[in-house]
Amino acid sequence: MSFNDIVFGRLSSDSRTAADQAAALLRAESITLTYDGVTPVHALTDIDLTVGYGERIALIGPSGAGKSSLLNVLGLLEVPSAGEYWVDGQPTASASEKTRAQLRSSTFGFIFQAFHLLDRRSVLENVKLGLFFTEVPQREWNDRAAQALESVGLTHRMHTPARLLSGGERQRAAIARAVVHSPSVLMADEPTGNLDSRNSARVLELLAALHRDGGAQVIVTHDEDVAAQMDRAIVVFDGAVRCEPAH
Amino acid sequence: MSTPVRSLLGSVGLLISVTAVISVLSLVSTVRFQVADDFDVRKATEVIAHVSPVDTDAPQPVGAADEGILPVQGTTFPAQSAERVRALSGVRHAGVFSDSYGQSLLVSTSILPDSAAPTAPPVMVAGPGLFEAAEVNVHGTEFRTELGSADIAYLGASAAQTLGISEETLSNESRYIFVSGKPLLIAGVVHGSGRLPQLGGAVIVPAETALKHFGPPQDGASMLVTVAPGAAANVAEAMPTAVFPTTPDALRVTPPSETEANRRSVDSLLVNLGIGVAALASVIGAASIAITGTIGVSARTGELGLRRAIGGRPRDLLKQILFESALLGVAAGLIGTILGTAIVLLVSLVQGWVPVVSPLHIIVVPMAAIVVSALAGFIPAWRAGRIQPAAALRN
Ligand SMILES: Nc1ncnc2c1ncn2[C@@H]1O[C@H](COP(=O)(O)OP(=O)(O)OP(=O)(O)O)[C@@H](O)[C@H]1O
Ligand SMILES: [Mg+2]
Repeated sequence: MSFNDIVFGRLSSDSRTAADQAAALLRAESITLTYDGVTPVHALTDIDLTVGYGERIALIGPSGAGKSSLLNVLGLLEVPSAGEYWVDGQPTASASEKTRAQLRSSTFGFIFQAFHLLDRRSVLENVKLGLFFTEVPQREWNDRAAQALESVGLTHRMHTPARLLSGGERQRAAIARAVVHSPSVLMADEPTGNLDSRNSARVLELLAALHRDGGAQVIVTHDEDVAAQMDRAIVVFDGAVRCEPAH
Repeated sequence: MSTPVRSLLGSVGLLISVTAVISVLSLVSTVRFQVADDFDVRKATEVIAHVSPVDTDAPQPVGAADEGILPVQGTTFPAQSAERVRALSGVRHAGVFSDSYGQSLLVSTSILPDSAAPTAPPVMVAGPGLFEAAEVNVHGTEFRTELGSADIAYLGASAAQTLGISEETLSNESRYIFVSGKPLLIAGVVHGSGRLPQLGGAVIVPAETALKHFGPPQDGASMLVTVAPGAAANVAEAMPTAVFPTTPDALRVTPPSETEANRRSVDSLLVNLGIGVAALASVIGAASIAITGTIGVSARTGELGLRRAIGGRPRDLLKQILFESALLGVAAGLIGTILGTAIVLLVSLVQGWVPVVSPLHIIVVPMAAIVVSALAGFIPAWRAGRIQPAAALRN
């Protein structure tokens, strides 16, 4: 199965309406991202993209194509050089850093290939960090974090320092941190990239289970099997969306 | 190197600085205290000036007669010179005295001159203001007058004892002392050794009275001046012109004690040393906090980027790093103060000094450490605030 098969396979089953589009959770229009430097890198050029509520999307494409760049723009971690991007109907391209930070904490959850846990802190504290900048009252943090850890099956490791976890456990802890505040959309950049197949499968199962509980997911992956599980796969190539279905 | 180890090293720089500042400042106070202790404060607040009798063979300075160099008050001081000296800034009291009559005047409790005891006390003359300057107490009789020109005399306490005259007797009956046959009403007894211990053993005659009856003292007179602490040098410098406006050289002023000058130079050296060490320590402490903080921020780029990703604003990161810096300052300030104080106590114990640890230092230095580390923390904090989340989270 090639990327194209996946994409076009999904194309035919794409049944979204114009109304869905208007009420899209994420909507990017003519997004361009240029990294300034001695020789500027045009990482993204003229990208149009929508993600609906509860939709699962895979971003696929060769290395250096701009998948991570696109994910960062969609996750408000990077400001596009041109174009407009709406989150939940709110324009963000020229929003203040305060507004963007607020949206990040309320709407998004992030999972990284490299986990990014605080090694010396306990697993519970790492998960609680996901609530640090949210509006969730502090007295609820312990319960929320414990709940999230239960959903990823790490209750027994709650008080273990993060550095003592195995790779699979680390990524599950990171997932718990990403979903502890019940974000509208989970952003994952190659969440299984550092894991063996058994742990990868476990993480994918978890993501699928989380999706059943609601919430959109945007997942960058090299793994065709992962992409195949998604509602839609978008091929990024040379900074452009190759195979976004036409509407 | 792990983050806590690095932070610890950063605060060790500040901790050593705080320790150094506390111990140096306290040792400076301690040493200053020892010097001050060894040193007679009384001597530092008095100036004594001498005038020798006018040498009639020597050429007279022009206009000297107008300025009244010739004896006026029974001393060779011009009239009103004590008042003029008293007007100098820093002067508390001034009074003229002379003991140069010595044993040349016959002192007796009886009108019969040959009944003079062989141990008869010497005569001293005292001008107005001398008792105040000498810091003695005068227990006067009801006849007591100021040190004017009346025919009175005062007895030093031990002179009174030698002469067998008690204060009780004086309060009940008028007693006279005969100086060279001149009856002087005993107006009071002078107590306390004060600044002129020789007063205690003398018959004290008012300067004008002495001049009237016995002529000027053969070997000249002196002036005792008490001054505010630190004013001695200035007063000593200003006195000759105040007393002899046209011939200031006629006055010989005993310079303020050498110890005072030494103490001052040692003192300012120590204070400057303290200031220097404090300044150097602030710079070293600030630099160590800024450098390790900056290294720490770049080592923690991932963590800080993550905080940005989960909704932290640049300002939140800035505050976090500033807070961490200030916390290091608190730790370094407290531990450094304890160590510094321990060093002072130890050194004092070994040297046999009385340790002087100023509460001001104990409070101000740790506060300064917190301020310095928070200020130094602005450098890493500013860097943390500039961290771009996407770049920070890139593998
Ligand atoms: N901060 C940056 N500064 C300059 N160029 C960058 C920066 N980040 C990414 N790039 C460049 O932008 C292009 C897209 O990078 P991006 O990381 O988005 O690719 P990718 O599709 O995620 O690749 P991979 O599959 O290897 O992770 C690449 O050419 C990359 O070198
Ligand atoms: Mg990537």
